[in-house]
Amino acid sequence: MNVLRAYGWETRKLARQKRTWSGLAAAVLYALAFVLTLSLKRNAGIPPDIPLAKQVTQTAVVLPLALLAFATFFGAPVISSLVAGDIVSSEDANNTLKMIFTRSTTRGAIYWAKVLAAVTYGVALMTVLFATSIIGSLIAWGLHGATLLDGRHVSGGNALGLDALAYLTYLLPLAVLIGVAVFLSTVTRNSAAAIVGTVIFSLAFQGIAVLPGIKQAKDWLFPKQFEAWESLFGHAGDSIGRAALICAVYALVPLLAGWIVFVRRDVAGA
Amino acid sequence: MTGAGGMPVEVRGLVKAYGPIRAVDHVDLTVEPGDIYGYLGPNGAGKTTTLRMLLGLIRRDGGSVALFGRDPARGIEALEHVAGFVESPTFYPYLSGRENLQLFGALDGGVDRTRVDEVLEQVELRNRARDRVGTYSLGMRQRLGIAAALLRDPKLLILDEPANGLDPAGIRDMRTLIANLPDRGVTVLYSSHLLAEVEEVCTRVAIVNDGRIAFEGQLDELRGSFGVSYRLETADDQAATTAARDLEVSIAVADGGLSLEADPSAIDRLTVELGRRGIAIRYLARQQRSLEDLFFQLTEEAS
Repeated sequence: MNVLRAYGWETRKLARQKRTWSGLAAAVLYALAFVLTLSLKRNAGIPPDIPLAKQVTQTAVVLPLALLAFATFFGAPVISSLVAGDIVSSEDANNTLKMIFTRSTTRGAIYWAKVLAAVTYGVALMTVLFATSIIGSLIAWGLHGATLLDGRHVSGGNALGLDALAYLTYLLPLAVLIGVAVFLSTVTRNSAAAIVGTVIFSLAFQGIAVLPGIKQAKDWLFPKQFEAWESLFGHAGDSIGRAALICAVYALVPLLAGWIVFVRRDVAGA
Repeated sequence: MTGAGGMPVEVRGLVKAYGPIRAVDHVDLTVEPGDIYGYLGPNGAGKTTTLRMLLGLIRRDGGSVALFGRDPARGIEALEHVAGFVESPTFYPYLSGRENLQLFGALDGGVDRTRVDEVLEQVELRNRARDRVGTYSLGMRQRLGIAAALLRDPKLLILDEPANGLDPAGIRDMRTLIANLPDRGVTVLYSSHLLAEVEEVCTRVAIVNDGRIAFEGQLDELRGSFGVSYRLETADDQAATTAARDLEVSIAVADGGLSLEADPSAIDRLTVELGRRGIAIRYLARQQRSLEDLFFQLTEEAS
């Protein structure tokens, strides 16, 4: 109950900060930039390794998937850490921990409320990204059926449903980045360090994933889980269940470490 | 009045060290129900560090702390009847004053709007309640900090330099507010460097210097511990000095008169003796030493 009450206020605090709305605005601009570029430039396309790439200007359901693929390298860690990397360190910046730690809600409840709020923001970002890209694509190309990677043909409505599931699946690795950002925000007490640290964490893992000779291990590395949604479109070798398991482990480790630091820390200094 | 049981504050042998420096060195404090207890000391004496340990914000290296019999290091349950702040109170600058109080109230388990209005009224911030705290002056934030503390209906209020940033009228109002708290069953632990302020409202004091308690007790005990002084002016100070020394009364020349340190019976004997020797007394009065004098004497002696 205390967690939920604190969570309510964490979300209200987020809603009152410019940073929150800047992130959402960036997601809208990111989606619109793709729609406009593909609509205005003749013979424009997206890389062929993105599922259904050839159909991107034929039906509205492909562009949202392209946005997911492009976001993996840089966009996902930046947007997820924008709020998650600030959610604890901003308390240090405002020096407000000394005020909230002397009320009747435990430090643990406050921490998990912050985690929930950061995850909520991740969901909000993905929702905005999905909604903007779908609306923009619908206006540009209309809703038509699509042919999946395994040759099945699905109606526009069904493909739209698969898109929504793909975005939900993408939240799994995004939760890992949120966990890392919250941990870094707790430990460094510095928002910029937490955001940069999360980007470095993501890039480092992606670097490891392309090393030669680790083909077997690659499926268990965190960046691979960004591709789990492709199984919805008939791509062999990806599994949402496995992604859920792996992401749970990758997310819980930093979150639990951050929780230990948060509940044990001294609140000293001005 | 003692709430959950035990004294509002009982601290024994409290120690906090930062490397080789002992910020708090075996401090003992007892704040009794209904006290307005002044916690005095120069900057860096360890006052705020002690208050942080009382509020469970930092861990101690030794000793014990009990608030109404409960140890704040074991969990926030010990703060059930306790409220306050250390250094300046801080808030979320992008939320209004009212929203900040509602947030704190939510963390206390929920608070209704009427109660928030009441405390805002008490600190005279109701007309600015809708404004963002980022636009508040230092004094307004200080008053909002008091409101945030009162919101919990505490039995023990811990205030660290609450008059910081307040104008003279604000200080007067703060003094009145604090002076009335014991009537409502609230005990106050009041840390301040404004000695006159403490002298005005506090019933008991502790003076801390270099992390150690130099004095703890009633203000009258503190004054008494340094002896009673009198100012004497006579028609012949030279002869009066001789008479005092004959009676083994401590006497010194001070500010165009004489200063005596003696108990009342010695003063009685001296006045009779001055009369017997024909030395006219023009002025004789007991001198009240200010807390500030005593404070400096204690802290400088210890240093």
